[in-house]
Amino acid sequence: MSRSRWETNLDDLCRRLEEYGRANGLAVPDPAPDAAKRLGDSIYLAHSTADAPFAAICASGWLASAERQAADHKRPLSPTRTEVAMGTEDSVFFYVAPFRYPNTGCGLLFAATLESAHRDDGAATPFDSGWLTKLRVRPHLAETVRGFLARHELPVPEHRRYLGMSMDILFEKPEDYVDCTEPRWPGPIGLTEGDQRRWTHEVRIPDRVFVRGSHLQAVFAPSARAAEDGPIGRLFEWCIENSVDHIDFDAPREDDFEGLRRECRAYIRRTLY
Amino acid sequence: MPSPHSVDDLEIVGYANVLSETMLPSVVPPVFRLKADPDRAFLPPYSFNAGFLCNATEVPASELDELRDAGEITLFGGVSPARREFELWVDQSFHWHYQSFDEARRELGRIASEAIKQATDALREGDLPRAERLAGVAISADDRRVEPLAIKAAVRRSRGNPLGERLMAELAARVAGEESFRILVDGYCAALPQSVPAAPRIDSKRPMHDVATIRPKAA
Repeated sequence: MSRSRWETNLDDLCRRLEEYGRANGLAVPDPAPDAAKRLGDSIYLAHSTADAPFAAICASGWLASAERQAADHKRPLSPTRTEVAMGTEDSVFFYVAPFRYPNTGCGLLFAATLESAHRDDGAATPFDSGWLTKLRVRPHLAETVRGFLARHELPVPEHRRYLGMSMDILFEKPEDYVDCTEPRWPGPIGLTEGDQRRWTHEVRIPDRVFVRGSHLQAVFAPSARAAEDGPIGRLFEWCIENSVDHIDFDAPREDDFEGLRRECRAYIRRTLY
Repeated sequence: MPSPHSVDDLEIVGYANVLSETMLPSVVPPVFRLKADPDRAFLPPYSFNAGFLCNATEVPASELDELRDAGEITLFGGVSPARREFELWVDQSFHWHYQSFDEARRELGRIASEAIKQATDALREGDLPRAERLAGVAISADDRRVEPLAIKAAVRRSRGNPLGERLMAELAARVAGEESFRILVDGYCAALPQSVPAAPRIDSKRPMHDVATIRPKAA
């Protein structure tokens, strides 16, 4: 799909949000207040995985799409995979948020500048595209899931305009988006079922993303992984050498993800608020 | 808000991580399913409260294979009944154990102590790869122990890897002061067959020390 279509989608979505706000008696400042705009413009892109796949990412130096990973391993992609069902198998996925993808213990944060470097080929959605396949009830029954996705694909980094507006209009306060506190209002998109995946912005970048580049903001891993004489430890050493933030943490009992999430939120508070 | 489920009503089908050999032993979060309705599975993040599993992410069991194939979870061949106050961990041979918190902690503590002893012996014999590997086992078993980090720092110093040594010092900062860690590393280095000179001391109070690592707050 073309960037001009994504721009049209963005204008349409921002207009719908304003109308939604007015219809529900919500304040609709234009432009968004400074706090929401600043947070919306600067919040990082997050990619997290389980431990062994993270070591593989550190070893290769790239985040790779499902399609590329399958090609590299010379194995076909399962047709039941969510990305295949959505036609997004050629993309690397990020949440524009703290780490939220479950079953993950290690992660990378990238600066918002990564989006600017992919203006022509990156796209965003104001929800988790994979989660659409899990919906029991779609907002528009006559529309296919892929059709719904296409109608909500937005240009990068301009999708942050809608993010800032929604942080201000739909949430009690902008920080609630970061803290994973549900918005007061569901908004104009029509997704009401499910968890934070229905309102967390997603960015997709085609094919692969270089890890050890200027856009890398911070690396997170449990202390035991960072101490390994292996790819994760070597990425931490590279971070020391290149003054890139690197955060190791004690994993709370049984739950690396909780440690990852906690450390990431604290990092965002330290660096963006 | 998802409804809580009594742990007594659940069974374990796997764990929500994928690990390689160098990451073991490791405590892992179980993947549960309902005994009475095996098609309902539960993934982290979740919490436990008074014998109930709370705020878990529910997925249909049919989705578990997809998550396994995507490298997100590991599934067992069979199932095991869930127990209150129990912990799941995977040993160095990829065998899983489901024990009470106390038992698991004791067993992992024993593995850590044994690995530290063997790593120290390997260091004295000059077998650096073995010392490094065993120190890794000790850290995986109990990441609150400072000795394996010091052993790894000594190995890295002896290999002329100051970045690796500095990383170990950073990781140890949670459990040991900078000076006591340096003394510990010096001690392990002195135990090497061909003693490695002590690293030049870096006074962290120097006015410009680490200034280059301070990053501006994003606008």
